[in-house]
Formats: sequence, C-alpha cells, structure tokens
Amino acid sequence: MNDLDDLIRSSLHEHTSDGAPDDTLAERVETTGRRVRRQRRVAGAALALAVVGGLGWGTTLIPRPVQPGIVASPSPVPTSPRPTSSATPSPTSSTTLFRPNWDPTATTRDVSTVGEQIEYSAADVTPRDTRANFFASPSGKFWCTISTEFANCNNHVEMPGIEPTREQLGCDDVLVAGVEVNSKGRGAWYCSGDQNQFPQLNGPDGSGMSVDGTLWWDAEFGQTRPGLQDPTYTLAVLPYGKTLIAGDFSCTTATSGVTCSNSRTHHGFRISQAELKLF
Amino acid sequence: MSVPSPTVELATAASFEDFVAGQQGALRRYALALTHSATDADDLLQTTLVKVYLAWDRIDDRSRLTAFARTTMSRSYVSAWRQWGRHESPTAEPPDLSISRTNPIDERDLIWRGLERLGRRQRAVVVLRYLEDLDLATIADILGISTGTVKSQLSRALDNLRGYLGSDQS
Repeated sequence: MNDLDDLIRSSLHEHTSDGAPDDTLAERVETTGRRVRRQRRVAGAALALAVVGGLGWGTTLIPRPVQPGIVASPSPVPTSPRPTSSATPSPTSSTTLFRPNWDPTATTRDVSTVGEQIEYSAADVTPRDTRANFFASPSGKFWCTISTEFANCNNHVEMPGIEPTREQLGCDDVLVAGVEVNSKGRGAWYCSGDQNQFPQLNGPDGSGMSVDGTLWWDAEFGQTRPGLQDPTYTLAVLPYGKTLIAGDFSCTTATSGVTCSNSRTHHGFRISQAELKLF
Repeated sequence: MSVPSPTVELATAASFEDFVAGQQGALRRYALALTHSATDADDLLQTTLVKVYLAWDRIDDRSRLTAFARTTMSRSYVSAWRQWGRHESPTAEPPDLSISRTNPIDERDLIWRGLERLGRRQRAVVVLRYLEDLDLATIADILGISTGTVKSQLSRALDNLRGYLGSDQS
C-alpha cells in the first residue's frame, strides 16, 4: 500500500457519495425494459433455429447460443427473459425463419423476409411489425438497420458540425441516434433512448447478439471486422459495392459512405464521417 | 490513509425491485466513478438496470446479480461511446497545477481530475481496483480482457496519475 493507492481510494470515495435512494428507479427501469422487449420481440427464435438445424445455412452463420447462468453482455441478447417482478406481457413468438437461397456471387441480397422481428414506430408512422436486418459499414463507423418499414444508420464516430445536438433535434431525455428514412418523408436525424442496431456476429463473451438480424450475412457475401470501440466484437460488415434490399428500401456501401433510400418516395440519406446528404 | 470500501451486499433478491432497492447505491457510486457526471451516471445506471431486467431469467444464480450488473455496466461504459462522456478525449496534458501540493484534500481533487483524463479502459481498471477493491483476475473477467492487459492498463494509468500530481508518489 503506498500513498498514491490511498490517494486514489480516498479520492474515489470522496467524489462518489451515495445519493438519496431513488424509489421510482425500479418502476422506470421496468417500463423501459418492457418497451425494449416489445420493440425487440424475438422470443428465442434464434435458439429454436439452432435446435431445428438443417435449414440451409452453414454453422458459421449461427453464433454460439447464450451461455446459461451469468453471461456478461454489454447489451441485451435475443432471448425471451421474463422477469418475475411485475406483470409483463410475454414476448410474441416469431415464426421460424427460412433463409432464402441467395446467390452467393450476387452483389445484391433481398432481405425482405428475414431479420429480427421488431415493432417499428416513429412520430408519423403507426407502429408496425417488421423484421430488422443489421449491418456495419466496412469502416465500422456506421451501424445500420434495414427493414421493409425503414432504414437507418447510427454513427459511431464524432461528426462535428454535421450531427445536431439533442437540444437542436428536440430529443428531450433521449439521444441523437443517427439518420433514418421511412415510408414518410425525407431522410432525417432521429432520436432514440437505446441502441437499436445489433450488427455483431458475436459479443465479447462469444454469444450471438442478434442471430435473426444477421441472417443475411455469410462469408461469401459479407465481411467481418472488429468493433471500433470494442475490438472483441465481430461486426457483420456489408462490403463496399454490396446492397441489401428490403421492400422499398435499399442500402449500399461505398467509400463515399452508406446510402439508404426508399425507391417509392426517392427519399433517403448518404452518410459518411465527413459528409451527410439527406434527400 | 486507507478508506474502507463500501459494503456491497451480495444480492439474493427475490424480485427485481428488491435488487434495485438493495444495489442502486453501490451501482450508482460505481457509475459516478466511471462517468464523473451525475447525469451520465444516472443514465448509465438506468441503462445497466434495463439490461439486468431483460436478462433476469437468464441469471440463475441470484447471488451473482451484482457481479452481472457491474460487468454489464463496465462493458457498456467502455464500449458504448455514444452515451457516456462522448466528448471526452484522453489527453497527456497535465491539469493546471495551481493547487497547494501539501493539502491532501486538494490532492484528492487533483487525482479525480486526473482520472477524468484517462482513457475509458484505464479509468475502468482504476475504479474497479480502487473503488471496488477487486483483484486483477476479476477485473480481467469483467472487462473481457487478459490479466496482462489489466496490469499494463493499470500501470499506465498510475503513471499518468503520478504525472498529474507532478511528482513521483511511489
């Protein structure tokens, strides 16, 4: 034990005094948790798929299932937890997914029928069930989602002068999440209270992050790279020049950025660290 | 001088509400040490607890709930750049040393400011070691890195803090 050790200990304790207990914290957390579960609504389809097996894709596509007991995960993994502490709606089971017989040599892949089952809602869009497919840009700087209802990308790098503050965007108590295009209007920045892209093929503990949401990925069509902030993540990368399509929406990566658009409305966005185009 | 670590009651909570009631103080203290911001600490705490809530049924061993929460919080802090301390940037520049070097209270403030300037992983290692009183192997498990990396991160962090203090304290 030396003086520096003691100084650090005393400094940490001095600056981190307990506040008054927050009696409403558990209730607020449960409310948020129920909302997240409704949005993510995956219901163990991934594990069901792993058990059923033989559905036409290689074992490399199926990340290791969640470990029993303690699993250290930086974000919720797709399971169907059911806390005992309150009456919560059971997550809705998703149907078993069959992976389409995609051409491994094609540069475009239609993911309209696959993906993690979620409920999508936005300010001007009635909540709808859809399936979300997650991918990362080759640089790892953008984590994106494409579905038949919307496409969006979250920036995982600073974009000074481009990204608005949450005050400017009116995010209240949540955060500026990224840019999005849906069935209504132009591409635009949007707010979110939680991470909603899961393009990781594995987490730091080896568990899968979203099996359904990365069904589009295979070694012929996709690439991988380590996460920027945490290199223990393996990201499902949509390589430069490749395109994912879901209904009216498409996303393409290029060295100039990730472009997502709605072919019906012709609205969308192109985002790179240096430049953003909303149209 | 030695400051006792806070007593962290091992959670054997039967319900999520019990767990939150019993552990929110210790977890918030840990979040505050990581983020150095009351607002960010509250955000990090709530985000962590949501993840615990979502994983509740997967955690068979209730005595490890606190460990799970601490691990989740640590990794959320280290890996999720967006939410917490987004605009921080570790720097080697020493802070303004206009503080009396003989006053231990001032030195504690200086250490706190020095911690702010560490990178996230280094700060997490220091907080887990000195606030949570954990051994290196446990810290390695929590952060998902090797024990050797923990040692090197801790060593660099202490070197940085010594630099902030302006003299070798060892």
